[in-house]
Amino acid sequence: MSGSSLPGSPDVLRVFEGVEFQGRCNVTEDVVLEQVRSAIRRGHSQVFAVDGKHPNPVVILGGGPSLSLTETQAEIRSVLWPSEGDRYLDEPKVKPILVTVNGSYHWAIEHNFKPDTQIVMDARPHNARFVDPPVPDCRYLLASQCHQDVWDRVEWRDRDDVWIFHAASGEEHDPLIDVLDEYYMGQYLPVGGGTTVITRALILLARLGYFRFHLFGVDSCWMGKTHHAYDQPENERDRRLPFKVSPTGHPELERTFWCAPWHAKQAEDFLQLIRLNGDHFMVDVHGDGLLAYLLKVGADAALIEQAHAEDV
Amino acid sequence: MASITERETEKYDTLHCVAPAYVTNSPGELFLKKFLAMSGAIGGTVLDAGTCSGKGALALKGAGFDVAACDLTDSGLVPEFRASCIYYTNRSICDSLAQVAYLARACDLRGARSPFNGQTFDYVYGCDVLEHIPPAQTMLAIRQLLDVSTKGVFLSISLRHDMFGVAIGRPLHHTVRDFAWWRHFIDGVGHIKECIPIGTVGLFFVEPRK
Repeated sequence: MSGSSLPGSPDVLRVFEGVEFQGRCNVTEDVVLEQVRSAIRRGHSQVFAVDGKHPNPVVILGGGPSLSLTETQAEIRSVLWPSEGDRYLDEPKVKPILVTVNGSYHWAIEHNFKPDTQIVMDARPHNARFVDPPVPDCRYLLASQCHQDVWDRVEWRDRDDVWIFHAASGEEHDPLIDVLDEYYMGQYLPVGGGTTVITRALILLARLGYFRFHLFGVDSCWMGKTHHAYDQPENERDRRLPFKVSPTGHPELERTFWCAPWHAKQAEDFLQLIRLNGDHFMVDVHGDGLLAYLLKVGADAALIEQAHAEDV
Repeated sequence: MASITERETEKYDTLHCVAPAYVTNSPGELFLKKFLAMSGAIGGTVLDAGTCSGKGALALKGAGFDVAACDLTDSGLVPEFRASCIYYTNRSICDSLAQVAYLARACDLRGARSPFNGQTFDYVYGCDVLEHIPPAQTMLAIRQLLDVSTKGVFLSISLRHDMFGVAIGRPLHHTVRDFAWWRHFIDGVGHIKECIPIGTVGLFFVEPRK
């Protein structure tokens, strides 16, 4: 995880009542800064915001357990490869793109989905495996805080395919700012977001002009005894805690999920992101995980309240 | 028929008359600190190639370097440069710059104590020049710069179309390419010690291949 950097007043950011989450980076600040100083000197092109919008739908694959479900894979195919008669075929330039993060890169390759973009943000060295094997024409968007091993793996790739972005809030208290300001003379794009790569990926892709997102495998919870759709040894020791959620004033919609602490923080980050940026992009979270449920019950609660208001 | 050099010289002479703000906005000194950081330079001789206003040369002199300068035309030189003792000559960077090194030594009033050796400079500083060169000649120009530098060439290259050509109805930036393009092709000419994409500008410090 990285430290969360979502701007906004406390009231806006309070999406859960009765519980408070604190995100903390999984490496020390000194390590992050050292790795940033090394990465920015490798001469990779920077990701910059673009003017205009891309109408292409973006399919983002997380690593959640719902990915392993047959129906999920069928849904992914239906979005990426729409059947005849779908309106996408009338817009040949509106080809959906596939974005993977971390280990979903390997999952996609193994399931015959070709990633168009792979995003890696975590600063720990084991993330180097998430950029291998190289996929032709795949763009690698790597955070400047990534470990040297990650950058070494892409050193000899086509330079057009490797881009650097900066997981920074852009706010004054962010220690990265001094490093980036000095090196890039202020000319860089800080990418804010939550504590996990998924929320940063949304912000990053939105700054690149995309605004239609389909999220698969972004569950933010365990399903049964499975935390990822593939082997992820780094999470084997995660604590598994019950997390009861319901919209305020609607206990009838309550449901219990089993979550690691980072799952719950990711869910909070995601809801905050939607609250702050909901006017700027459209997000469809597929599956039956915590995130999908939170969005669904939020909408259900709104519908219930609207129905009650109309009855009065 | 006028040569490319003659046509370009006439173009910039016209521009400097019609749009003096072009000289005012010339960024010659803007990247001095990055040049110092990327090169590790502490003094020495520098050729400001494509100096335009001369402001870059003045900044380099102020930073303790022994400076010579060249450009297609001297019509853009600011009064402060003209009043300085910095050696200047008209020369296209697409041509051999060995003559510039020779003349810098020959014209140096310090005589036997001149830091210029008459053949090369320690560094070449090319700020916002390469994008003004036609695409087919860009790498040739960089080759010419490397040939007269012993320690390396600093380049700042604009990655965007120019804003001042509209004043004379002709483009100024002939080679508008992205950072990755410049990096790819410069890497074939010299050893890129460091390169930094800074918004609409690419910075490169290139060492001669041994």
